[in-house]
Amino acid sequence: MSAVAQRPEVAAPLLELRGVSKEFHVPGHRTPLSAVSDVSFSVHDGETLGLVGESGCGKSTTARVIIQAPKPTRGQILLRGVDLASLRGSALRRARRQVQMVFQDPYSSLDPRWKVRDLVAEPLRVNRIGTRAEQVKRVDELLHLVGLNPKQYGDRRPRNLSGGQAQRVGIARALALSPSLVICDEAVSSLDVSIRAQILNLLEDLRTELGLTYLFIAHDLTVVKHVSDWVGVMYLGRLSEYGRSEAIYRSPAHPYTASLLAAVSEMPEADRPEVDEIPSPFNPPSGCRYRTRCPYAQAKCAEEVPELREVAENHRVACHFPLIAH
Amino acid sequence: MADAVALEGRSAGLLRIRRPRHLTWALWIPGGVLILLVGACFIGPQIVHIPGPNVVNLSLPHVGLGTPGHLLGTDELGRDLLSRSLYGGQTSFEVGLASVAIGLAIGGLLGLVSGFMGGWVDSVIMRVLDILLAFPSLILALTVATYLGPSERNVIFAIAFFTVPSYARVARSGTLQFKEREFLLAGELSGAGRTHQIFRHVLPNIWGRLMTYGLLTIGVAMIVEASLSFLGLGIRPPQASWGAMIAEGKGYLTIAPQISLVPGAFLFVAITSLNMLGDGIRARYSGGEAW
Repeated sequence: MSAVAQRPEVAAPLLELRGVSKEFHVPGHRTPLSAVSDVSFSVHDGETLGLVGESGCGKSTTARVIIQAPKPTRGQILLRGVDLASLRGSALRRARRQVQMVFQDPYSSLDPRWKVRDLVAEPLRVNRIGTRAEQVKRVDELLHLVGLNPKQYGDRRPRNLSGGQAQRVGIARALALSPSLVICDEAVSSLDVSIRAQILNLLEDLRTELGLTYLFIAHDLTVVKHVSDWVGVMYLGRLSEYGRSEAIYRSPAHPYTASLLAAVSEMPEADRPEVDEIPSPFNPPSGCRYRTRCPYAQAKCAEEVPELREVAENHRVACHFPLIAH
Repeated sequence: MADAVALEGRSAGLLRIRRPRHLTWALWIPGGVLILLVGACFIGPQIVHIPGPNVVNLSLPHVGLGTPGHLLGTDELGRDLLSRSLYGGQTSFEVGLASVAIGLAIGGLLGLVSGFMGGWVDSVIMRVLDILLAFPSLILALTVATYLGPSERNVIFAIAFFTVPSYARVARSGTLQFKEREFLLAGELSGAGRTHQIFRHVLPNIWGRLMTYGLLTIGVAMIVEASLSFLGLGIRPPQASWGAMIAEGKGYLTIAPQISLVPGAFLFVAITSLNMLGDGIRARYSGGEAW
């Protein structure tokens, strides 16, 4: 619980995770799967936090846990100071409207039988926001906002859209309720490289235009680099490094972040880890979870779980032997 | 299979090519035969002058096919077999359609709710339906029909009753398949309630496969109706139904086989067409998403 990423500003964060863990009980396994383990961080208004890590590191589970689908096993998820995990039923539904999500596969996140216009209008309709005419107008606005001509695309079904167009519809839908936080869960990962840049630019434009706050989840550090103010690096369910984007990209303090940034190539051959497989989340390594792959691992790493400690201003790392001097 | 359909849909979208929607012979032939048959049963007696189905003419018992005035012959009481077959067809189609509609509505709803809610709701609904499913269906229908007494309405209820579990299974498996799709989570995030999710998202997506399954089971329902009527637990004489007519003729098979064979032929053509049509539709729209 001590790993709360505090910031010098006094302003309360928009979203704050305090010691959040999620365990899944999988049939056939005696121990639960520890998908997210004691993760704490905060996201402030108007800023973007990029959450990165390999697939299976728990970053998508973190996103799901934030929206309470499923609820966390332990910990608090504070949205403007209100713990979402303690809410139920309609109170939860109301609070959750402030958080919307853009998904990885736009085709899976859009009902194949609905038209674009209805898909974007759905959040307005189920919440009975505005009259029918106002809804129509708002849908047109939203489609323009994401760069789709309502006349041309409004009556299409998802299967008649390209991946980029479908993702734009997904974004328009997410914006319909004017959320304060938008979680982009690998929102550009399934798109072609050329379209990826367009969607990233669109998200960036929308942020400045609408003052949005993003939690941007990706497995690719280069994608996160361009959009994030803050970066959190996850490994096997734990947050291993957290800090200002510039600091992390300039001088990664955790060996894992360094390896993700391809700094591995600068390591001497003999120092490189031999086992390059992620350990099982059913039975994570003791102490530091990265130690089995870490070239700098020592006895202490197996005995003690490293806490997130500040190594520089706005830069915290969970490593006994961080790569930068204190 | 769903993935393949989605991919196909995607490329079709890019190339602006729509899936050809015209019907092919696999749908045309059985579909046409069925339309003719249903038309003949329900409209035929009004436009062509034939004797009533219950008009007894003891002077002309079991005459053969092609007799003037009695194209398909008569039964042991001299009743016109063409007329009885057409009116009997009305009963058979009514029972088939009505029982499927009732079974589909109840079973489909139970399956949707069961699959969508999961947890103990799912366990309770499905275990109860499993118990029903464990009984041999005809025996179950027999029991219900015996208990309710023979009449067209009760036959419909009996058949609907035993088909509920299978519709529920189809609806539930479809629901489970869509439950993990992110559009339901997206809907939930935007504040949509369960009713909205079930009826606006899940149901339209599994509608196609429910309808296909329903079409296939109309034939089964008609056979069960025939079986019940044959056993004297279905349609009460003198009302005609194909099954009841086959039963009436069983004592005369050697001297007047047409009494059983004429309605038998009607039943055969109807069931075969229904099965072919169902198979054709299933093959064409496999995956369910194309609907």
